[in-house]
Amino acid sequence: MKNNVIIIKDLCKTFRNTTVIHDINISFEKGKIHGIVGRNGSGKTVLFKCICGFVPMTSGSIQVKEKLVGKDIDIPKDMGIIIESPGFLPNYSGFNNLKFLAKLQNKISKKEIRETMLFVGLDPDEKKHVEKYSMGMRQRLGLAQAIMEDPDILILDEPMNGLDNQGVLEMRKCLLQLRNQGKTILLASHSTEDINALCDTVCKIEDEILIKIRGFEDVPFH
Amino acid sequence: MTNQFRKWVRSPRIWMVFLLFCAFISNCFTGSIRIFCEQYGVRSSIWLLPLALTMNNRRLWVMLLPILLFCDAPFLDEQQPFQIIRTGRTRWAIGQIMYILTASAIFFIVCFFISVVLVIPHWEFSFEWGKVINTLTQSYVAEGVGMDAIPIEVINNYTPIVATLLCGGATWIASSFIGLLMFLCNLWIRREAGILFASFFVGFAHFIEGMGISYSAWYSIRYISPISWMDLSKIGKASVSSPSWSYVFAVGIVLLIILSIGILLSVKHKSIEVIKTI
Repeated sequence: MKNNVIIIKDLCKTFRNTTVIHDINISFEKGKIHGIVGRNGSGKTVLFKCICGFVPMTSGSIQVKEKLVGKDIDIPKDMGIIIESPGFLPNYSGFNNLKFLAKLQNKISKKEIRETMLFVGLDPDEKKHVEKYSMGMRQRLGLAQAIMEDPDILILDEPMNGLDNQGVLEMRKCLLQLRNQGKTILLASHSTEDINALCDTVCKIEDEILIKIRGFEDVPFH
Repeated sequence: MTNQFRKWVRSPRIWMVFLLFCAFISNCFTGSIRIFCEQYGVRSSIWLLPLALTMNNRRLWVMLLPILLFCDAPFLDEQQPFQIIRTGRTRWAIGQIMYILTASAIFFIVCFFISVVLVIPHWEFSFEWGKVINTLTQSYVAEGVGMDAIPIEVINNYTPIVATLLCGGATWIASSFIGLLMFLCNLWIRREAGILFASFFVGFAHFIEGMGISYSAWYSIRYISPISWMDLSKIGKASVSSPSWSYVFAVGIVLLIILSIGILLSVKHKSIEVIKTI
């Protein structure tokens, strides 16, 4: 299907003798929020890292925007990520951290960085160093770095970690706005509430296998 | 690359490297020179570092510092995934290689300035080796202040500026070699492996100078020990059997290129796993 931005076929990942994910076949449609649930260590992060090109696959293929990861491209272009806990330079402000990252691609100006920070609820003029940020502020900054260059695909691994109730609601609002702008979002979360409130499709990784729960053409409701 | 330097201010490891170098050079070399200057009321020139690095024990300790500096290679802290997603693996790895090469140059420059600062109360600026250094080439004088004699070959064969430049170049090669070797080993095996291999090369250079092995073997082994190339008294004009400076720089740069290519090829196939910094 043309609308599928990520197509995963027969994906297996084995670390030494331990199979983490096995025979995963799934496609993620453009402009939707796709939720992935599963216990700790079930393989969600590994799946995300395979999609980002950070972890080589044992077998199978991943196609991102019609390019094969690991063959046509090392790392997919136009992708924003939060994987594991977001790391920043502790002795610089949030704005400076984003500025340093933005310089790597030179696609956006300071104006866009400021707008992105305001969008996620951070003050770009805040001089406070990131080391003094709360966990919630770091998560917001993590989201800001993921979206600031306006990528089409967002891979977000537990983006609500450390957020208070208000923060969760604001983050949800941000994600829904991003979806409405046409972004494709892959979201891993422990929270059923977040998944139910946000996701158009939901799948679960259990015993190395990916199970489609709802929202897919072949599994409309489960 | 620049982001790696931004981490220096808050890195206890970097401060440790800086303080250890000050302590080593002050205790093991400039301290003795200061004592000599105080005793005789004379002033020393500032060109001490190339001479300090001719001494086997001092070189061993100084070369352990690049191991400490680069033991984290490939520097995959929590910020790196954000960079890799923007740059791709190859450009990111080139950045890390450039960081090692630049940090190695900075390492020598900082070491040089520390060695100058530590003799400040008794220094004189001159483009000559100066009376103090010339006098300390006499072993009985050097022993009097508790140090090894300064090798006369260095004083005879090189001007201070040439000696500093050659020593700087050789130290840059040795330090970059240590950094890139650790990067490659850490990519292929695990972080401890890089430290082990790098320590082997530093220990090997110490071993071949310190152990009584035959004269010819001694000179030929030095050809394959990049850390030994920092010793101006054994390289170049010191002896016909010594590696020449053109050998040192040509082979050294080829070695760095081979290691860099190895890193660029390896980084394409390895997992990007965040590792907590030391």
